[in-house]
Amino acid sequence: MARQIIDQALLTRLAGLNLPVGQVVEGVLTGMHKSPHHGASVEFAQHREYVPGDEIRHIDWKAYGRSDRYSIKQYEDETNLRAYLLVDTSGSMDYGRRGITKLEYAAQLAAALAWLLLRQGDAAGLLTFGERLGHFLPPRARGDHFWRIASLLEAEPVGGATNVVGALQHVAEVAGRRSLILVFSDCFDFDPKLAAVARQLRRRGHRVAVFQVLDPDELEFPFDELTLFEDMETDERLLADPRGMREQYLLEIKAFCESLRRDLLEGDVACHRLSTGEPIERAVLRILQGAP
Amino acid sequence: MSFLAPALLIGLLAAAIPPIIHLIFRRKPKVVRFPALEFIRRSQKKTMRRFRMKQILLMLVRSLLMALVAFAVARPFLRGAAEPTAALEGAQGGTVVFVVDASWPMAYRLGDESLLDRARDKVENLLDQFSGQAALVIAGDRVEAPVGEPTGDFAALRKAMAELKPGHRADRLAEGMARAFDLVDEAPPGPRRVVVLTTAAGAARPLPEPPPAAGGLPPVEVIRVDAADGAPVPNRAIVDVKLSPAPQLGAGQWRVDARVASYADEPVQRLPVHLEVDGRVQVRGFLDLGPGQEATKTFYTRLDAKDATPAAVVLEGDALEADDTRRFWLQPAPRIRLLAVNGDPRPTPQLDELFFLERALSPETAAGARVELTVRGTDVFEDEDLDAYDVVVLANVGELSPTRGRALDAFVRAGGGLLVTMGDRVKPQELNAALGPLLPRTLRDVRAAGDAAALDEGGDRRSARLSVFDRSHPILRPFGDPAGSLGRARVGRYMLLDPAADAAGVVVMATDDGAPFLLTRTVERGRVALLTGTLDRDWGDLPIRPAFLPLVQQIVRYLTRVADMDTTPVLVGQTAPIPVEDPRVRRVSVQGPDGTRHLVERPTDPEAPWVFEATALPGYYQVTPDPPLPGLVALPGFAVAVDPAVSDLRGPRIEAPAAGEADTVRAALAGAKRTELWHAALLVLFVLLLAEGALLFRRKRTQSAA
Repeated sequence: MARQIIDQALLTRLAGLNLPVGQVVEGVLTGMHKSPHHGASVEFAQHREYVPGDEIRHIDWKAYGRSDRYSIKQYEDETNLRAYLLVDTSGSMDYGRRGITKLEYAAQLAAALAWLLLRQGDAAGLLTFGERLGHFLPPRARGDHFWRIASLLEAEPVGGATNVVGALQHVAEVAGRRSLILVFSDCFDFDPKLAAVARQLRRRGHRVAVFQVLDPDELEFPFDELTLFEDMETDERLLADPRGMREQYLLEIKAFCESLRRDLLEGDVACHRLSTGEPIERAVLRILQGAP
Repeated sequence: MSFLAPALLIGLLAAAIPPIIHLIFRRKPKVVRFPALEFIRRSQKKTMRRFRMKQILLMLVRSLLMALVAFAVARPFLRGAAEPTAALEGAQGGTVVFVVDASWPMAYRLGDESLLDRARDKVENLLDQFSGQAALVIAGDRVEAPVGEPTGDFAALRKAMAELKPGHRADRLAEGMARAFDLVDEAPPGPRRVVVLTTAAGAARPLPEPPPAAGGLPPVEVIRVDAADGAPVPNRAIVDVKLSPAPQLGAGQWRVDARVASYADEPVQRLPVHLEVDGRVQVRGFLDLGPGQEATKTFYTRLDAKDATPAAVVLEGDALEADDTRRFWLQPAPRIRLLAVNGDPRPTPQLDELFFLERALSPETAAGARVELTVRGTDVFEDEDLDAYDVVVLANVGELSPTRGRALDAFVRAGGGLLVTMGDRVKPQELNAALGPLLPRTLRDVRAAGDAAALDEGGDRRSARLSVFDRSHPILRPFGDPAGSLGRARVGRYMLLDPAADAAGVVVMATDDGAPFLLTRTVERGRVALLTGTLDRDWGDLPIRPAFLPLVQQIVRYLTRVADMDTTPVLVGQTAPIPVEDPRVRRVSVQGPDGTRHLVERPTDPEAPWVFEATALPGYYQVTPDPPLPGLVALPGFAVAVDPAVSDLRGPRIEAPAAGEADTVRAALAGAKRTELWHAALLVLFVLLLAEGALLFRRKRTQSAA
């Protein structure tokens, strides 16, 4: 059954907002993001030598007067940011006892951010992944591209193990120039290479942000009775008495989240922890304000 | 280890309740598909072992709690190997004679049962484990052997034990043992034992030794068992009550001194004690008693009744009631027939020589003595029959005929009392001649008091004061401070006496001149008192002093030997003298505490004492003439009490018995070898409850913190 990820009211409320990529990926107020493309614009970037085919109006006549050579002025352009949305569709993302699964939450968040990016003229693409790669939509800046992303998010099947590292490595291959890479996952693959791959992407000029989506049950462990826990990815079963281990469980998951966050931040990769118990609109606004 | 109620050990099965509840209510685990299984696995590795340990510990604690309750209820105890009766338990063959002390101290209540109940239980328990022959001797008010022939059928013995009640005597145990030795002596060959069940004090008391065994027979083994099992048996008892008049407190007042002894190792504070008169509590009081101490509680009461009235001092809140009550009769005042010879009668009452004496001895004011006062003039006195009187007062009598003198001499020597007082009409030589052998000292002449002192002080003084007192004299005993009361009186003149180094008299009071003022002398069976002052105000103001009234009453009592009322109790089993002097009464009816009446004839031999012997019960015994004699004042009765000499139930204090004393000590402390464990079990129970609470609290705190 297709999941409902388009909240029209939310998209309407987000219509007047822009996605400050710098805040999203760095958490600091640096203003709107800048495009790496050069072209007609108002902000001077550099001079280059005139070649036939260039528009004559771009020739800097003052520079010709000083150097006796034709030079063309280049300007920075604020368009054409390429963003890759990586959404985890592994089995563990299908958990949700409070009306919404982690995947639904991640999909809604990804859709909202895609909506914002497309509305401000940037290009947004989508890659779904589980243990293996799912569907891939290359970034496009067209307005109807949002609906293609949304349709894919709504229909993408869930299952299998988590492999965030594989998805990131794939994006590293396909993203030819510096891009914005947003990962939506619970990061339960426990792969120590995650931080290393993220840092590698960052060194290539990409901006990377990881949105760790968790269910409140995972954060609070509100179980009392003797329970047979069944793994959602491997179907492994484990009998446990939550009363005797809650304290230790909470320590373990807190340590994992903190470790993940610390490793990513060391590689200049932002990490946002999101609980599906938090309304999606508030989470988006929090992200837009750069809060962790 | 043994148990007083082993059947209750079935409650140990309750230890299985917690595991059973756990198994019954154990629910099937709920299946939950969960993404973060890795964290559960990691947590379980670290905590599951500890958690399971806690769970198992909690269940163990709960099971132990249940088991301990059953254990404590079964009343476990440890029995030392040295317990004397241990030899008897499970013994095959042989003869045992049980001697059960049924004296009154065995009524001591230790918890819910008396010592006699405990002795009964012990006999029952021993019979359960014994397979030889047994006989029973009971040493109560008399020695009985309800099972006199040793028998293997214990039904009769159990029946006799079930009907056993404590008696009122405490002197039959030795006799009971002698009887037991007789019984065991006739037993067939085999082990022979005499088991004595008594108090700790009884077990430690010297008892008859068994006779030497006849040829070839084993000696008789005597096993003494403390029915209290060595438990403390603190007891308090009234050991004595003294009754004496207290005229200084007013007319009709009596003082009751109750001596209370504590036979306990712990002090007691505010022990309630009260005085009952005619069945009603009249005065309440409290006593503080140290360990093993005695104290006296003093009550004051007023007796208005003309008949003998039962009274008692009662201790409250004691475990042994028999010695907590000391009964006695508050008897009507003894009758004293007093003849007063007035040597100076006056028409004006206040000036009459006997005006103050008559008032001091009037029935309204006299306490402890009922004085029948007869006043005669000196002229009629010559013909008076002195045998009709107990005391004669010669008040300001000038002279006596030699015949009267001799009659008075005979009267005193036969037990009469004589008081001689002075006045202006007294002729010393005449009186010396008539009463010489009776007077404490011979009279010389009248002297104005203060003369000698006046010379020293310049001649200002006209009177002397009473300043020298023999406080140990019975006459002055009720006066706490004679100098404060009698010392206020002024003496204007007095009769000077001849000094006599070998005088037989005792100076009771003297003036600050050094002149004797009151002297007494005992002449054979009678007593004489000489007052060197007057009974009226002619020579001083003593008669108008408040102290005059008790002084005169005490002098009269002293002269008639009615100083204190005899409250010596008759002990159970002793003979009680029947207090009837009137020769017209030939037979009396004595009604005992249980209402039975006994007719007792006066013995034909006038020298033989008239006594009552059936004093088997403590309580009041009322004596009435049979047939009733019109006009006779109600006869006093007597009270019978248990012997307080055995009120101390404690055994000897022995720290570490020497080897030679081992048998005696072991016997005396027979029951002390049994150590009850249920207290310890309850203590462990309490600790376990705390532990369970701590475990639960810790788990709750962990959950709430999480």
